[in-house]
Amino acid sequence: MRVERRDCFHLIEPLLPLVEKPARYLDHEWGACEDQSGPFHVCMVYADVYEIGQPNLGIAILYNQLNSCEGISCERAYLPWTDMISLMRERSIPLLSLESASPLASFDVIGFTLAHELIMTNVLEVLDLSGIPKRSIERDEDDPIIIAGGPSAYNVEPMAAVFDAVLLGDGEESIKDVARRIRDLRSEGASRAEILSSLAGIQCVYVPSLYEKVVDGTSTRWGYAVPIAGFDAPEVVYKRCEPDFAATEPIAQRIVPYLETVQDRLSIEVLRGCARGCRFCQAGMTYRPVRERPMEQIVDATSKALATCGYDEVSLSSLSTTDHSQCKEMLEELGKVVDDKGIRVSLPSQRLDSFGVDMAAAVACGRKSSLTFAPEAGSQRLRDVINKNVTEDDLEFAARNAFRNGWRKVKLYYMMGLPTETDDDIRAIVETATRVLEIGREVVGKGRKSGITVSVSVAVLVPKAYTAFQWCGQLPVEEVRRRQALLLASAPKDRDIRISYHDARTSLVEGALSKMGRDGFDLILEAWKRGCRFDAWSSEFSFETWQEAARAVGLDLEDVACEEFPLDARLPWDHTSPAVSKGFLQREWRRALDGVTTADCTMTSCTGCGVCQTLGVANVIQGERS
Amino acid sequence: MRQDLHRIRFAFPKSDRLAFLGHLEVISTIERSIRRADLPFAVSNGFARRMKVQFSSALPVGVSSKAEYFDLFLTEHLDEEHVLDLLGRYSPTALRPFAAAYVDGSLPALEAWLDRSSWVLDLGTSTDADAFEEGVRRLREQGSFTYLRGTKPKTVDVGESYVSHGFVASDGRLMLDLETLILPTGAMRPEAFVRACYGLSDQPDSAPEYLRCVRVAQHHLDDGNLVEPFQVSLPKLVD
Ligand code: SF4
Repeated sequence: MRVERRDCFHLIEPLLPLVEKPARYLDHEWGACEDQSGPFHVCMVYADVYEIGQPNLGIAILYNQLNSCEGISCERAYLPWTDMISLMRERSIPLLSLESASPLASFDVIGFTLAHELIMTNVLEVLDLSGIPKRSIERDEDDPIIIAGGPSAYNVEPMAAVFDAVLLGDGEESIKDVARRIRDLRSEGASRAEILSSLAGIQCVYVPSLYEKVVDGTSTRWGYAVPIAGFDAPEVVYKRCEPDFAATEPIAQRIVPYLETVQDRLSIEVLRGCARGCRFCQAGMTYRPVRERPMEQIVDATSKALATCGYDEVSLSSLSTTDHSQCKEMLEELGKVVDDKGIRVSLPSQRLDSFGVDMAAAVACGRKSSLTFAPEAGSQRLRDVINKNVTEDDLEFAARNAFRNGWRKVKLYYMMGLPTETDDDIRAIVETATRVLEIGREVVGKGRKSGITVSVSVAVLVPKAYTAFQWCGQLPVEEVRRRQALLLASAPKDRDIRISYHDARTSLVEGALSKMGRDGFDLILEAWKRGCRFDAWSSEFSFETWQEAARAVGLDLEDVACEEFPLDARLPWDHTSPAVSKGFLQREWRRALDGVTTADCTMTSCTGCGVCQTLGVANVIQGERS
Repeated sequence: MRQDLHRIRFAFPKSDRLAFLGHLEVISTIERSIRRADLPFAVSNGFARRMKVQFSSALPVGVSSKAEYFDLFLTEHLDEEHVLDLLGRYSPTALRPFAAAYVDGSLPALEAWLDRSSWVLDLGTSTDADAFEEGVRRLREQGSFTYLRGTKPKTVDVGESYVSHGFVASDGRLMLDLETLILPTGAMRPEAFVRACYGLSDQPDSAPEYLRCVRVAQHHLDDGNLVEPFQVSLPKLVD
């Protein structure tokens, strides 16, 4: 029997004075959909605290889409922080949705967004707090159907046992197809198995229980998945892609939170996809092709949404905003809209090769806090390997323009552990950062008053599915540490260069989770049972517990994350595809080793990744890209 | 203040669930309501161009209020009732302003000016008034107390912050009326004061886990006289 749907806010209300940031649990925000009459109820879950999950664009899109469907209501839920979780467990209070404060287990469908791999133990925590069986096969007829999607759904095998269905790619339409199908079949009295089998017939929907793992001489140790005989499931599930991006909602997130979130501003998705082709970047492959939103739509929607939401900042979000062919004009037009109201316009990060004088001046209409560039590698040789098509000159040019236009703080993002990386490449990171600082001092002047600082942040490469580096092993922890020490030792004794790097051990767990196949679930479950959750929070992450969990299930984290796969092996994720062809990725890998770059297809011609042909879509560029 | 700006004072509650907002959360919610209402607010010059608005002193998270105040600087003189109505439409109910009036631009900032607060705290059903009274007496004799604010110890001078107190029984619950003074060095949290009293009383364990607290009024203390926030002008009220 399904848990009863009823308002249980009175259960958590007495706990609010006892927890940190009670505003996480209040609901009633401006713009939230208060009418939750259903009768078919969906809850979208971001399995982390409110302030991390609330700004998530994916959930916002699905929330609006579903709430606009006749007869379907959609609410939100987030994972409470550990203090609230403990109190809820002590008092046997189940996890509640925000809008109606109903138990999650009372919903028809629960959807998770997989924003990154380190969220997986939190998904289990959500299900456990909700009293919903963690494995798909343990669920009763009446239990909610558990679905998932998001950027990390392209290797969802380690969580295949959990999800009843996984949606690949753009969710605008597919979420409605899935919700309606479940609703209709449920009302016809179809069984859970019948519903799942029917979902597999919707394009982009992967139903893990209809597939089995095969390990043979053509596979890695994790095997590959094939449809179980007798089920009508596709051999390869391809993602959904919205060809007409201008027809989608420009501003999805219209709920104005009470508490400060990680992106506490209006966000407009100015384009989707990126064809720069950085070889480490999963999003760059999985969101193809590039679809720009027309400038007029962006300016109009921004101005309206600023008025209805009341934000004092708008972020032009996308994978690569300054690549938008109308970026400069767009910034100028937006500058006029926000002129006298103290509103800032921000860009997530700037392309080095397009940050010219005009662009610097146009971006300068907002507050000049810090400017972020991502050279990713220190040397030109290594930037060619990763296909980051920017040069030393681009960096110098961009830095000069930034300093001339009033910026004083520049952040530079790099990676470590890239294929073919040597100690010279590590030293080159420091050299480029030093060069940027020198340029700043040349332009603005020396001395502490000039306020010039260069912050260098170095992440560890985690090879991801559907990138040219998907066959690579991750760098072992000890070697990462040696290179990090080398980086610090090479840095000049100058307080205006600040160096930070990611924790090697967290990256190792992320690497293992990115690489595993179906059997990897045992590790995730064991880690969760031993107390792992909030793994993306350095205060909560426990490498020792992960190691113990791995030992308990007969695995070694380093052995998993650092394993190289043969180039011709069948991979654990081959059946859940963003439609980028394997041949293209193999070719990109070979070109990487040869240090040969591949051009951006929005600026030249098709470079043959296969997405457009397979899905019948195309790049949509509003103006001219150069 | 710039001569061309018009300073309008608003009174608003902090009620229901929104009692659990922190001070900065209240400020950003109201600033966003003002932007939604499209009021002609003034913006400060300089590096961070912010809306010109001043709030009364911070209320702790979980504490509700019958009347909080803020002063907004407008670039146009609009009818008070119209402004109040407009802002009301774009504000969450639990923070919706209920009174507005123009005040003299030269008045001191609200936070320092409204220095007297009246509170009501719910001491629950198991507190004995006499025992608590004894706790208050001991605390006043002691003169100050130290409590943890987050992880930081904070010492409060009771002699200067405490003004008076009294009890009312309501539905079998003991309600404490407390008057406090906000000092330039900071405000005494009523809950911290009450817990310190329990700590020194003979019934330290009778303190409720959650102390419900409401700020019921704020005043300016002027040479021993209490000045109402709107006494410097005539408020326009909506029902
Ligand atoms: S198929 Fe060609 S044009 Fe389309 S995204 Fe791939 S490389 Fe670009």
